[in-house]
Amino acid sequence: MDDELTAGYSVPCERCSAVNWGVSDTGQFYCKSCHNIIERVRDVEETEVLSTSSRVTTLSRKSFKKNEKVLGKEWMIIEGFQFVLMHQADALLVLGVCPQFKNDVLCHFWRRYLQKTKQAYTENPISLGRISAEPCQNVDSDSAVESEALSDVSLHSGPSVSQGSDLSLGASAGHSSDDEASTSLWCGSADATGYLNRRNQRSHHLMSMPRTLALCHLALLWVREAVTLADLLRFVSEKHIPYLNIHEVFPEEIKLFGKDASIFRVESIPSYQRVQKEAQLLARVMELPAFPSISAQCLLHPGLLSLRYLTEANLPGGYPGDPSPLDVSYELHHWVCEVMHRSGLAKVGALTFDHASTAQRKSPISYELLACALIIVSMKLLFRLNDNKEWKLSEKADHHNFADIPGSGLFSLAWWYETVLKAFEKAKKREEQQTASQMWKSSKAMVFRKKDKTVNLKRRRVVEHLQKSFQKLSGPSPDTLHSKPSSFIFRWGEGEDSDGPSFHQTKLHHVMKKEREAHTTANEKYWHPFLASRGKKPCKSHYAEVEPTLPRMYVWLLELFSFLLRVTPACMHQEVLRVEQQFMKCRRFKRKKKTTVEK
Amino acid sequence: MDDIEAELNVAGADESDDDTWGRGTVKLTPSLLLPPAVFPERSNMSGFHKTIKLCLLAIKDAMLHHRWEDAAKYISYYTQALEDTSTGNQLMSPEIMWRLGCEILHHHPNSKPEDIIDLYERMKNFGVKNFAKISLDHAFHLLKNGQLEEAKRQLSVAESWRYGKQSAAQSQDLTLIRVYRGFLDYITWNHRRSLGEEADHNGDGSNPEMHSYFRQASVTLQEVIRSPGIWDSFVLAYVEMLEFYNDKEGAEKVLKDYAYDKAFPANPNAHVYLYEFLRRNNAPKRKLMEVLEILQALVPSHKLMLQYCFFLLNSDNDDDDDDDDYKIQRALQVIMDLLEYISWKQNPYAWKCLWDVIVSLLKRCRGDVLAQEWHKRKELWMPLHFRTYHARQDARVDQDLLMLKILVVPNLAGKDAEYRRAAKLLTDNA
Repeated sequence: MDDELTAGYSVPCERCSAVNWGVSDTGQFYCKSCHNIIERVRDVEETEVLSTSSRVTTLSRKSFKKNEKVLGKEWMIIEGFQFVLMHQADALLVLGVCPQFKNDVLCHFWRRYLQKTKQAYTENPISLGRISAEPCQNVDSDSAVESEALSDVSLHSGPSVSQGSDLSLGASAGHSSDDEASTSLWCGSADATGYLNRRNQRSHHLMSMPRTLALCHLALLWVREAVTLADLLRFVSEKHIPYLNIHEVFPEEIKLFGKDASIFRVESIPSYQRVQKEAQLLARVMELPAFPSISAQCLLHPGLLSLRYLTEANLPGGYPGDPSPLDVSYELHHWVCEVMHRSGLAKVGALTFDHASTAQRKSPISYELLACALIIVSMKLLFRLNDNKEWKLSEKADHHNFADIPGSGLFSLAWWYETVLKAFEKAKKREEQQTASQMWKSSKAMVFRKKDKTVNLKRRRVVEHLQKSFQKLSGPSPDTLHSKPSSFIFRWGEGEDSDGPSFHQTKLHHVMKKEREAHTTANEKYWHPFLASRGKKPCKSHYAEVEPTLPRMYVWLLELFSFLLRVTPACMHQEVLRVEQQFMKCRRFKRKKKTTVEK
Repeated sequence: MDDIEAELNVAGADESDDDTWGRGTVKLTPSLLLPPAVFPERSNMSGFHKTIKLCLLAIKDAMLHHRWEDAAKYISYYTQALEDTSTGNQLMSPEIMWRLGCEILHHHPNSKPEDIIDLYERMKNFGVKNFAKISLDHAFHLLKNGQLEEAKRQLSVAESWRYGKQSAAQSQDLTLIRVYRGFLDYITWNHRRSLGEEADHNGDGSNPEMHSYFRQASVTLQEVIRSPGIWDSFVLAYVEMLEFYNDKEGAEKVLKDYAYDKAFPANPNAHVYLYEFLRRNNAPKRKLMEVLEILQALVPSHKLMLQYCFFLLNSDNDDDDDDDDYKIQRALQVIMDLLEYISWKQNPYAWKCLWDVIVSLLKRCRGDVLAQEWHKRKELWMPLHFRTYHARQDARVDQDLLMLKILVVPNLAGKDAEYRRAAKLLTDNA
């Protein structure tokens, strides 16, 4: 660090690759980490050596500070998050989200968030750390208009504002003097300390990295895009949406180090539940009204969403062909819709995201989880899934299929299980490999503490060097086949990269019977675990205890769908229980017998 | 690997408060046969740590299956663990990187020697904690490739290296480094000696250069082997040098200290070395037997026990009959103890020795001693040596053995023993 003496000599040490040079009494350069003496000698006049040689390790604070100021301008954490959101929105646009998403929805959400949390667009913004609470001087009329526009939420009419690097927040806060800054903390932004204060975080609902995703999720929900939260998180982990090492996309002026780094550092992709919770909280903080309703034509509607997951899981009836009206009850999708309608889950009120609804506060809506739970319940209705009945039914289908009766074959659960199991295991392995090869650390080393700076930079260099040398020795990198963003994980049917034969066209005649002109299931019983009354729902952590008592086929199905959605099987089980609960409740009202319930 | 894994289990809590996706999906069934997991499963494990964990598993898998290219690939992903910010992992990841990385490079078909040296240098200077250990390993690697001088240089660099307070583990490493440096001096000395002997046959050790190596080596070796521990090869080296310079007393003292010092862990080799030294220097039989007596207590199955038996049978002082009786009785015990070990079970020399002891006992009309000893061991010896099955086996292995045992059996188990009958049958048929 004694830049004056080493004159900025920054060639890494040959032995330990650190740039930590010191100059000895004789003017010879040596590495302070490994004491390697190199051949470079300080070329200075004799007199100068005499004057400075007694203490070589004095740190010249002055030059360092100046250096820091050169590094970048003062910036606010909120600006950083704005960049993050902008990049995430751009990535979503590239993925094919409708163009209104960014300018008309996310932008407005962001402003509304800033306004409601009093971080900007307000007369007296909250003070965070070094920001003095000076009254805001330039609430320009433009933003005032916008905030008005937001308050009555005519979200499609607001003036489109470009979000760019030339952003200027409504409330520009004055900064205290620089002296204080350099002594108290070490970071590039102006208000990192305030951000790191837990109490501030809680009381002001400050932004965090998972919350950027929550905000994106809310905006996607508002525009009713077919990107579910599970998809969003998958795209994030597949790096189609920037989230990891976000500081790499920051503009030059924004330098991320010290305390800022710990705000923007990402060491995990947040869980589904976490983002969902954050989204609910944000919606409450932003006081968003009820969201546009999800109609049956909307892609987020469980009716349509379940079609997608039927296709993904290679189940029959997932393929939107043109079934004749007679055949309709032989489609699995028909039963999914039936369960949905009879459990009252298809009602508009139940499907519209509304943070004010108490029911949703208890169990937030997750369309994809609901769709998958409906599929599982329908499967239970048709096949019982008690590790016995489904195999008997499957034997029946096999007999029929071997008899070679013309027309498309019957759905054989055993064969389907074999096929999907193989692909599932492969996908799990691929997933594991991908996780193992995930790079979390950025090529630009993050420095959290000033005293660690040289160490961190040295570590980074060593890591890069080792990576290079080992990569030379490693075999071909894993197939980049799945790097293209796709809604589907599996591919069924013919073709080279197919995961197995398709079952989409198979029929379910063998699990149906005709009764008084109506089709009903051949399976007459239905099992379900104990359904607690509303409000006393079983805790998620109990799944581990219950799991061994559940039929294996059911558990496997839970695992399959939870893998597709990247949630825990416990979470999936929970959703299934919820659907069953709703179903039983509605049935009790209607007293309409469909299946005998076996306890 | 065991000590790393123990270290890894204390991996510090991570600082990230982020949830992981798919928490708890990876379920490991605990098995008593497997070592504890490197990273114990934690519900709040961050995605980064999960990656590291899976990466380690993948490396292990690849290494066990000798897929070195895969292992290299995964270890290149593992390097990011070096940048881990949690303190526990900061300590262990360089060690894992060093050990696994070197192992992979040693086996990889396309790796160059420079790669290994480079890895050693990088990891050595990565932190301060592992410097001594890695230096020592580096020196071994150099020695394996025959770079003696370079290895010596490495060790002297490591020896002079100091950083902060020395921990107990570190000082142990430094002791090892010192003693190995001394040993390398000895190797050079030895090399010079053999060169000198080739050059002029009067090799009187007057070579001053050689003497300086001796001094260097002896200073370090002498100091280190005084502290309790197992220093077998170092002691031998030191003794060899002392003997070369005719310091017999000094050598004997070193060996005696090494063998008899109570602070040292019990080490049969120490007694063997002392015995061999005394034997070389024509020490009296009494002294040799003293050493062997102690060795017998430590390792009754040692091959020197045959020698001990021989000494006991042929002691010089004929004037004392009681003492002789006692010695023969002792010889019987020693040889019978020896024969109770599986490795000696079919050794004709051992049986020959037993036969000699029996003969000399019978000569002295001390059948009672034999009967007494047999009575004590009958229950073990019958099933161990004297079944029909053994006769058949012995006949297959060695006819001499069979003959010896036929001679021995009637004196122990009686004339009508099962073994004898079977053996007779076998010899008659042959």
